[in-house]
Amino acid sequence: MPRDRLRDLIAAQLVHSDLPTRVSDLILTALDEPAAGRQGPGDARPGDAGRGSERLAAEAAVYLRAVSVEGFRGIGPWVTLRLRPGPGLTLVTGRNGSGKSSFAEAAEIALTGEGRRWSQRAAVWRGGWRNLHSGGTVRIEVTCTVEGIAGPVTVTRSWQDGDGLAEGHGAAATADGGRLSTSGWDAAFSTHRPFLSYAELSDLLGGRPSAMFDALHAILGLDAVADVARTLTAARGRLTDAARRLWEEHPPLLAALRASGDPRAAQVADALGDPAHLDLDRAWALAAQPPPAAGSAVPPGQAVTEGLQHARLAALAALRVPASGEVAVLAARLRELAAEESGLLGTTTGDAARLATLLAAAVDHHERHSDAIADAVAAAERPCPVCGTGRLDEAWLRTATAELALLRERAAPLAAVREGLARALTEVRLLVTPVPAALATAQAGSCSTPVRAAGAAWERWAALRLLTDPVAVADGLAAAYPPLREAVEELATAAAKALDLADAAWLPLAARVAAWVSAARRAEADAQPLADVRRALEWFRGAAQDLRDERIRPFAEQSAGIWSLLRQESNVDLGPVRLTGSANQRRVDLDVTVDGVDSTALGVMSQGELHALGLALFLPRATSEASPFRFLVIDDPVQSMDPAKVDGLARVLAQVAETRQVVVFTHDDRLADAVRRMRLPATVLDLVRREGSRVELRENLDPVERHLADARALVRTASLPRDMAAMLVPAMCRTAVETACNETVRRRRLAAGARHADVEAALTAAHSVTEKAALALFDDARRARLVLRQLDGHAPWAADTFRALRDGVHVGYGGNLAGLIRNTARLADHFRSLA
Amino acid sequence: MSRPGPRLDPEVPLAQADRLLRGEGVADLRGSWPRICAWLLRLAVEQAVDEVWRAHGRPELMRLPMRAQLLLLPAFVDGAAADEVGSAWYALSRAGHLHAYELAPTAAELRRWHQDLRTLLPRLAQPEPTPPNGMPPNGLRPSG
Repeated sequence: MPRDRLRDLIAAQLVHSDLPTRVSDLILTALDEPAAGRQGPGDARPGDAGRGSERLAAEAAVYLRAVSVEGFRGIGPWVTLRLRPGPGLTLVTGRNGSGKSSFAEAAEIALTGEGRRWSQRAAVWRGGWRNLHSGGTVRIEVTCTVEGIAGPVTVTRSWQDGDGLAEGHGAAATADGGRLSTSGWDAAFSTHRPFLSYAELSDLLGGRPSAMFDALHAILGLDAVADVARTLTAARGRLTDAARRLWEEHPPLLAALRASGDPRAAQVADALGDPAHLDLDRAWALAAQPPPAAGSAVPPGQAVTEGLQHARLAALAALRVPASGEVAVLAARLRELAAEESGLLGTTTGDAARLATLLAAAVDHHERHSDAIADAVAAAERPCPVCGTGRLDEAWLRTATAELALLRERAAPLAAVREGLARALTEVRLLVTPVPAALATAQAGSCSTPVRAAGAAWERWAALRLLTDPVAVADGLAAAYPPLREAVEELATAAAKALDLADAAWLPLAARVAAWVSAARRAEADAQPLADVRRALEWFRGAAQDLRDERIRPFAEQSAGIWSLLRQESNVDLGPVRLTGSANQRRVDLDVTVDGVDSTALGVMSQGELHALGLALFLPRATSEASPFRFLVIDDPVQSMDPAKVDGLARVLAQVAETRQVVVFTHDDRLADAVRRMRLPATVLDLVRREGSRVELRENLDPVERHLADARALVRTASLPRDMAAMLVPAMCRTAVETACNETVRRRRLAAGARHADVEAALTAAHSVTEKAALALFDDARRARLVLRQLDGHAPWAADTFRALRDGVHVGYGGNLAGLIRNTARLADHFRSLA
Repeated sequence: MSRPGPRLDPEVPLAQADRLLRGEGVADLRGSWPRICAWLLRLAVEQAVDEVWRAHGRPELMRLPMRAQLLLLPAFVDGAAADEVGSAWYALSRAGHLHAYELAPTAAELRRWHQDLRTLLPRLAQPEPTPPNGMPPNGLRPSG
């Protein structure tokens, strides 16, 4: 079925569905997509005539006229099997080895380019396709009539010496020599397979279920349906794969997060722990955040032990001691100032300084008491607290103050040194910090050697703050600094290393988390499309099944009809045939009942029954209306059939032959015998193979002869009442002549390329034997009046015979019946020999 | 080939065949009952054809060989029924005779023939329908 019609059909169904537009659009888009991987119609078959040749239309009906073979398999010298184009049954009988299968295979290979029997065999089999008794050339020629092409079309395939079976040169030509390409037939050959062999029928039922599905599916014209299902399934696959990978990755990711000591990992695990409540934003923020800067504060409210641990490590890693240069300079300055001070103390400057201190104390003493006690008398009488004799009066105060200024002036250098010392000590206290809180806490909670060593070193270092003696401080700085520096640096390095370790574990984990979160976001975004695709697929599968059921029904009914004729004594009933499943599950459901009990197993059937069932299933395929091939070549269908089934088969074939050209090759006489007994219209050809592969064909029975044989049998029946014979014998003779006329008309018109339906319609419209004769003689039924004159012109006996069988049917024939039959045979031959 | 012609309802041999198929009175017949059954069924066909000749007032045709009778039959009854009667008679003749290499018909086979005849034989007694398009497929019709 063309894709557009299928699209319209599905679109119409979509309108009545309750699918959202999104979903139905998916289906329509898939329908519009060209199928991937399918052969385009333009692909030429190798060995074809090639460029410049006209292509045979795939739908023009085809009948076989002749198959000629030389040097192929059992056939040696050139021999031709002539067939009557048009509907009818032809049996070709011959003993095994007489070359009948060679004809069947030759026709198949010439037309399709390959033989099924050969393509699946090992090389050792394929080697024997050339006839031993012929020279190097192998040549097959199939002549057929093709609707719309005047004159027969000849398809040849020939092989040179040394060519392989597949290397034959194929060509097709019209009667006037025009080249044709048969590539238009390729698809129809694989879809309808007008060549059925015993082996193929057995294979189809015994083979894989999907193979039978495909074979039946192809005839339904629903390839586009399969393509759409494939497209949708692929889309669903892409979406579910992403989701499946996401959730496959989830447990190991969580496990890795939980196994990690990193606090961020624990937080991410918390955010992603519940698949139903993913906190993607939080996980993303944690994973994307840069590693904490060294020394950064522990986040407030940090409750997680690992977090505290991490912050402590960060604090320890950040521990720093003063630069060694700074410590050395300060110590040197202290020593220098201390030396300067002690040097000055032994000089006048030192004396002046000491005196100034003494005087200043006395002045201070005097001012304190004169200020505090207003009694001037008492004050004036106060003795000197140093000597006890002198009076510290106003006059003394004046002299002393002047003296003090002088002394201070002289002691100024020492004062400057002392001031420098005081500054230096202040600097020491700035430099020497108390034990840092981080270290102190670490010391309290840890027993690790670096922590303890650093703690102890720092405590000794901090003790320097309490010292005032510059030299002692300078000594302390020199002594405590190196161990402090060593211990703290060791601790900080160890802490930094531990921190790095944590980050090294975290960073790849963070990358994994980030990737997973991105994928999860995509999956979240894909959830709707996935649901849509699923729904589309579900709907489409139902719709496709309906379409298939609808399409296969006529075929299934035909199959059931054929089976009912074939089965004869079999207790197996064939019900509806359904194509079900999809993808790898596709299969053919045969509703087979045995004695009324359901049984889907084909195993209950005998080989002969299976074979008959195969025929029942595949005859409708080969005879489908859509097939251009109006012929059907069956090779040895009666093998393993019991006699009763052979009768059924004969009737089935005769039935098919009413509208198709059926050519049956058979190795024994059973089928021919059944055809004769049941008086089925058929042509029987005997095939005899002589020495040297010389094959001869002899016509044994044909439809005309059958009627004449019946007539002879009546005449030989002595006791038959004369009146009956006088009416029935002419009737049989008339039928014989009509059959001959029909044959001639079909051969002529089909060869001229007429439409087959038109030919049959013309034959049906010609009611009387005279009209049929007019068709045969003049190709015009309206010239019936001229028939007798024309026959008389041929020979007087011909006109007499024609008149006798025309009128004898109605009034009886008074003459010699045996003579009438003899003349009828000659008359029929005359009609059949007309061009 | 010609048979004595006492009038016999085709129902009688059909009923006897049915008895055999149901296994009644089979004991005495041993293994030959399938062929006897086939003969009975063939007898029913022949009786039904005789009825056709009687109905058309041509009892002399009963004495003709069966092949001739079957050739005449399409001139008197529905063509399709005549064809089926012909094939049934030939098939039953074949089954009833002992042929080299061929086995006796099976019970299922016989039962099916029996069923087919039950519906086929009454069709011979029906007035033939007017064939469409003038001539019947075999053209064998003494028409006026």
